[in-house]
Formats: sequence, C-alpha cells, structure tokens
Amino acid sequence: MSRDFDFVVIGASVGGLSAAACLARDGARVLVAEQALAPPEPPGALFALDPVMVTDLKLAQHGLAFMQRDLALTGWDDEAPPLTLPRERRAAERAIAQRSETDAEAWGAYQAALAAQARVLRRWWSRPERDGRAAELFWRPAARARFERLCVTGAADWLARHFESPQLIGMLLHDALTGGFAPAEPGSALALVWRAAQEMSGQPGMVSLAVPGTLMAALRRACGAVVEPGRMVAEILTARGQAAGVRLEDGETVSARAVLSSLPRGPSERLAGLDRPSEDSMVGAARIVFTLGDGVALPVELKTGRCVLALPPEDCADAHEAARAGRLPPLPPFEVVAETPRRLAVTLPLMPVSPDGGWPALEAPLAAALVKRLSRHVPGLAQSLTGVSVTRPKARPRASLAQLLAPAHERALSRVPGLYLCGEDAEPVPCVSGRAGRFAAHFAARTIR
Amino acid sequence: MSLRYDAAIIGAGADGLAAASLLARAGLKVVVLERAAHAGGRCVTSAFAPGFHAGPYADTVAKPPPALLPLLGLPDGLLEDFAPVGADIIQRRTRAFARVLAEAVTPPPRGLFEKLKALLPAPRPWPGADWADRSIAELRDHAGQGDWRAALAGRATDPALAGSALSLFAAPQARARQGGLGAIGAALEARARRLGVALRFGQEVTEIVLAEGRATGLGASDGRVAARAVISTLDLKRTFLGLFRWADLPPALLAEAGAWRAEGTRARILLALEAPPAFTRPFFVPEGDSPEGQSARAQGRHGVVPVNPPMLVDPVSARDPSLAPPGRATVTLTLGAIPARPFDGAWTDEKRQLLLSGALARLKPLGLPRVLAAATIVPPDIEAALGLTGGDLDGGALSPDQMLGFRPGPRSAVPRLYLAGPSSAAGPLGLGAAGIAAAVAVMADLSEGRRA
Repeated sequence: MSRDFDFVVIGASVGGLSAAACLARDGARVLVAEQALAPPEPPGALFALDPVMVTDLKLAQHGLAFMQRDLALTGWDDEAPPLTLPRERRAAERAIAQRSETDAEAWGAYQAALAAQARVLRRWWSRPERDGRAAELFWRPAARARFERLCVTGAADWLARHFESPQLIGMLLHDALTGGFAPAEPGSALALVWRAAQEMSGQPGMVSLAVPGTLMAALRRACGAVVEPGRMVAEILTARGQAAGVRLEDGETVSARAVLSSLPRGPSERLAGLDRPSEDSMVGAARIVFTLGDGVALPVELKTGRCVLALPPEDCADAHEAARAGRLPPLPPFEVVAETPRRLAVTLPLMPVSPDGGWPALEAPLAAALVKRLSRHVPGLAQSLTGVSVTRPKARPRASLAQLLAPAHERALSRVPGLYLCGEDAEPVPCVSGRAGRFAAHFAARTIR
Repeated sequence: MSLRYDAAIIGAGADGLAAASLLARAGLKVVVLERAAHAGGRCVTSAFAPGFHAGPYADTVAKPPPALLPLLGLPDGLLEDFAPVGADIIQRRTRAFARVLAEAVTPPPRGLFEKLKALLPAPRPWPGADWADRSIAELRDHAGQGDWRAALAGRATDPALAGSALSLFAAPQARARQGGLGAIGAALEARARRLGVALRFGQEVTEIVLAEGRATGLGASDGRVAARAVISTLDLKRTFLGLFRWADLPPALLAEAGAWRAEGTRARILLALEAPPAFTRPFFVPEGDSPEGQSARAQGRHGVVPVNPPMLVDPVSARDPSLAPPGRATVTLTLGAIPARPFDGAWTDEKRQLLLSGALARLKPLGLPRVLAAATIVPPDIEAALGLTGGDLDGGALSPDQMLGFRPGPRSAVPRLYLAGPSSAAGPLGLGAAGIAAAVAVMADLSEGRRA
C-alpha cells in the first residue's frame, strides 16, 4: 500500500498545519499525519500568532476568533497589591508611579530602548530569506554597539539598569524566562526584545487569546491538505540521502518530495535514522490547567489580562538551578491566563524535564502548591476546583543566544536534506506562533522548485 | 610651587607600578600616590601570626601573556604555574591584549574621521567573544582550557550557566615561586624605584582635578599634584563616582559607572598550623561542581553566609618553606560565594568566627594539625584594604556584558584620564596588563600632544 504526495507533514500542530496550509495554497498535495486521534489544542496563552500567517491564510474568515486582545500584564507580589501595566504608555506610567516615581519616568526610556531594538530585529525574525548576521541590520555603530551589548546581557541586569521596584523588575523578568533562560544568562535580555518584536509584528492586537478551539479548527479549514489523525510516523524514508517520504506505523508508505516535521530536531532526525547526542535542556515549561466550578469570582486583572508572579531575580535563579538539578523548585515563577472564566491555564517556564523520582510523583504536590499560591490572589479557588490537568515539560534544546540570532534557515533545516522542521523549537524561542511552519514551507517549496 | 609631572598614578599595585616603570623608562616624570604605607596592592605577603606569612587577598594572579613578561621586568623564574594553564586561554589573552594595545596606540578619532569610521566594516569580534554564551561545563572537557577549577576559586560563578566561560579568561593560575605574591609586588616596586619613579605612600587621592574638561592632576591628603596625564588603577565605580564632582561628568558615564556590577564573593582564611598537614598539594572542596556548591551559591545570592562554601585549600608553605617557621605550616583557604553584604547586616567578628569554624570543621576529616592562629578576611576587609568596590578583586562581575570589549579603557570618557584598574579592558588579561595598556595610551597621547 503506498500513496504519493508532494509533501508530508508530521504532526497537526500549529506549525505543522500552517506549513501544510502554506504549501497547499500553492497547489501542492500535502498529507498531514497526526499521531493523536484528536490533536490537542495548543496552550491558551497564545501571545503572538504570526500575523503574516493569520492574514495570508485568512484565518479570521475560517473562524479564528479572539477572546481578548492586548492582554495587559499584571505582577502579583505577596508584599504589594497587584501591579497592572496597560498597553497605553501614560496609563502604565500612572500605575507604576504608585510604586516608584523614578520607575514611572524610566518606563518611557525602557519602552523606547525595547522598541528601537525590536523594530530592527523584527525584520530578522519575520522573514525567512534573511541571511548573514543579525548585527549587520544595525548599521549605525552606536546602535550596533548597544545591540551587541544587549545580546550578552542578562535580563535581570538589564531591567535593574532601568528600574528600582522589585515588583516591576520581577514581573517584567518573567517573559525572559520563556524557553528556559536563567535570569542572568546572555540572551535572556534579547528574549525580552524578541517578545516585544512579536507584539509589534505588524498588526495591532496580536497579543491575544484565541477562543479555545477556533485556532486549530480555522487552521484545519484553511489548510486544504489531507489531515489524517491517528497516523503515527514510524520512519522517514530516504533515497540517496534525501528525505523521500514516510513509513507509517501501520506499514503504509507515503512518498513525497520533502518531509516537514513538527517534532523537535532530535526526534525528527532520529526518525530519518540519524542519531546525535542529546543536547536537550534540563529545564522546560510545564502547563497546568485548572477547571473551576461555580463560586469563583476571578480578580479583574485575570479577567482582562495575564498575571505573573513577580519573583526577584535571585528566586528565579534558584528555581532555574533546582530545575537543572532535577528538583521541583520551591517557588517557581508562573504565568496565569483565564482561557475562559472556568478555566485557568498556568504556565511554569522553569520546571525540571526529568526530575528525580519522575513526573507522576511530582504532579500532585506541584498542583497543590500552586493552588495554595494562587488562592492568595484568586480567593475561593481551592473550594471550587473541579479538575486539574498537568502537561509535563518536553525535552528540547536549551534556549540560547545562538538560537535566538540564528538565521531562519539554520533553524528550519535539519541534517537530512529534504527534512524541514516546523515545530515549536524551530522558533527563536520555543513558542506557538505558526511562524516556523511558514518558514519551513518556504524552504521546502524552494528546494522543490 | 608644585612640581608638574608627566603622569600621576593612583595606586601602587601591580598595574600602577607596571605603568609607572614603563613611563619612567620612556623618560617621563612619574609619581605614584598610594593610600597604604607600602606598595604591591593585592600582591603582598604579610605576617598574620609571628613567623607565619601569606597573601591576605590571594596567592595567585592571572598569568600575563608571555610577551608582557619582559615589560614587567620580573626576575626570571619568579612566576610559576599554580595549576595547568590552558594554551587556548593564554593564546586568547594574548590576542585580546593585542587588541587592547592596538586601541591604546591609536588616539581616539575626532570629527570627520569618526563619521568615516562609521562606514567602515565592523572590527573583528574580540577573541573570546565566542565564549560569551558558552559555559565552563561545556568547555571543561575541551583541550586547552587547563584547570578550569582555578577560575571558580573565590568566585560565585555557576559553571553550568551560559557566559560562565568568560571567567576562564581571568582564571588566576600563576603564583610566585618564593615569598608569595609579595615577592612580585616587591620586585615591581624595586624596578619602579630604580627607574626614578616618585613613590608617595600614605597619600589618599580624594579628587581628580579637571581643567577645561581634562584631567590635570590629583588632589591628595598632602595637597595637589599637577600632571599632564592621570592613570587610575581604582575600579570604575571608585574612579568616577568617588573622585569627581558628579556635575562635571557626562550623564552617560555616570549611568554606566552607577550600573556597573561589582561585588566581592571571596573570603580568605589564613591558618597557622602547629605541624605540616597531611596534604601537600592544593585541592578544591568540593572537587567539581556539586549540589553542595549549588546550594552555597544560592545562599550567597540571598545574602546568607553559606554553610559549605566552595573552597580552595592551598598548603602554601609545603612548596615555599619561607612562609612558615621551621616545622610549622601555613595553609590558606579561598572561599567563594561569600556575600559582601549579609542580609542581616554588616560582617561582624562573630560571623567571621562562624565562617572560620565551619571551614575548620570541613577540614577536620583530613587530620588537620592544631591551629595556632587564624585570620579571616571577608569582602568588606578587602574593600577597606584595597579600595575595590565591594571587595571584588575582579573589578566587576565577569559576566559577558562586563567583559572584554565592554570593559572600559585604557582611555576614559574624560580626556587625559586613563583606566588601568581591574575593571578596565585589560584587567582580566593578567598581572600588570591593564597598567601596561594605560601607559602605552599615555605615551601615544602625550607624544601626539607634543607634535601638535
């Protein structure tokens, strides 16, 4: 039994589907093989879908709907009332001024510094054909010097240069931890710029939360490819060293001119028979979803935005160290988003990937500790809890400066010609945006031509 | 009527003396002002108990690039390797120093040239810039790194974090064959005297005198010294935040100096022992990185004095008998991850005592002979003695954003003021390297001025 397609995409993830859609739009015949029967919905805290993908694939017409846009960031602190930063600059300054006047004055300068870098680097991160070195985009020597210094600065140090309020520094620091950076590691300050660049990617309001279910449905509708759930890929077939199709677990072979994989780099290459020593990070992001019954009134900051724990850099460093050593951090940083009024999604960026004693033993204590912690800010949470589901951190390469600054083709190409990567870790910082799919499709289509 | 010197140097440490000698050899009139009553800076050996000698701050220094040794004029064979020094590190230090030197001999561009320079291709990255996102853990198995553990001694570097590899640049892997670091300081001082350098002790510099935006001299305890150029071997914070009226400095420079992170993490314990201990070679406790070291770093980060700080145990008198009376022994401990400012207030004698007893308890299983006397030196003591902010011998955290090209100097934003301290560009590159780079810059600028 054998079929013939132009492209095979492994995994109906956001990246996989967006790659399939980009290819199918140009008339190619694409098969998407998804291992699960019902592909899971990606995390609700979608902070920045690739705007080019959203517009090119006309996802809004295919039913993608947003619940909230421009999510405001709130920092929770045990010693102080919540600090919410609205997008509007003056409003944010007014909020900060209640903590510290000097920080309110510094806010404009910080935003300007962030935006200056992000405006230039946006071109680097949003176009697949960029090559060379990112630093070359900065042609003014002073700007280039600022960029080069920022690259090697730790986010905690960079924030401390601007602000004095520990709550403000702690809450802004959270976004730099995405991908598993330690607060002092080089590249973590650039992760903040990366985040800013995503938030300004062309369309206003892309910092948003999709209505659960609509993103995947819209992508599948827009895709125009054959999506087959419950089909696991057992092997990537190669001919003359080039990826030439896949063999499915049930024995069927599908020939194709190129294969795109939304699996991480290591597993993808292993499917093609290439093994490499694992360079996976010991630190990954876990996700816990709390389902709530009646009787919980969510605080206003959670209804309209995302909330993070404002942890001092030293505590973040402790959490990173504990996770690296395979221990559960006593006080892990986390981010909470109310996907619906009854569903709280908590993301914990600094979790051990393979803890001592294994994950099953950790899930209950972690959830319990988190409920206790969250109850301080969401009164009545513990009483109305109806369900908890834990998504364990996945092994993936550690976030690094090199990965953030690599040209797109270095992330999308694998060591197997004809095998392209479109998963979360083909992004500069692991995230769900669909951009990696668009890039992988770009390179796959180019080689076919 | 005050005498006008060609160069006035703050601090008679290795950098100050190296710079002074080089300038004096070139025929310039040089004065060195030193706060203490003796020269050497960190390169001193003192008697901490009758008959027992050791360097209070360090036993080792970063080995300078080989080409610098003749410029320092140290006696042959005085410097020896403490731990295996990686060829790669020495090579990188050499290349980095060549780069500092190239910048030192080129006077800063002015006017039109500056605009033209913007159009030229970017200069090649610093040797070692490729280490900015590497960790010691990644590099330690590569050939050419030497003994990476020396880079961790007395520091709070987390060897698993990206960027920690830059600590290897400043790994102190050289020591004096005899007499401790004081022998190096004495040799540098003797040479400076021979070359006619005016050394003035007990002179605390209180200000750098500015005239028309240029540094033109120093204000010290005994009055002013006029000079055509000023070299400061103090760190960035001390130099700019301590010796100027802030209104005189450009705001960007003040902000840079204010944001500079410098905080010591090193404590030293000097032990006078009744008899030589069982061990005769230096060793690290723990041997590599361990959960113990991790928790010590975490405690230090929060301002808690660690229970089990990582330490380097060096039986200095086993190799150099001049450091202890016959039949006795001197052992030094270099402890890392020690908070400069404990969360519960300043360092007290009680806290020092706790640190000492904790360290002794860990050495007990090794059969340590009876301790006759002990001296405990914590970061504030180093700050008080050497004037280094926070007692940080590195002149600032060795993180990638404060290393190599991001360290200022030898020229500073103030014309005719040169930085030669540990936080200057050549500071981490080895003994006296920063002083030599500053002296070269002074010579380049003064001869330029004469021509003009």
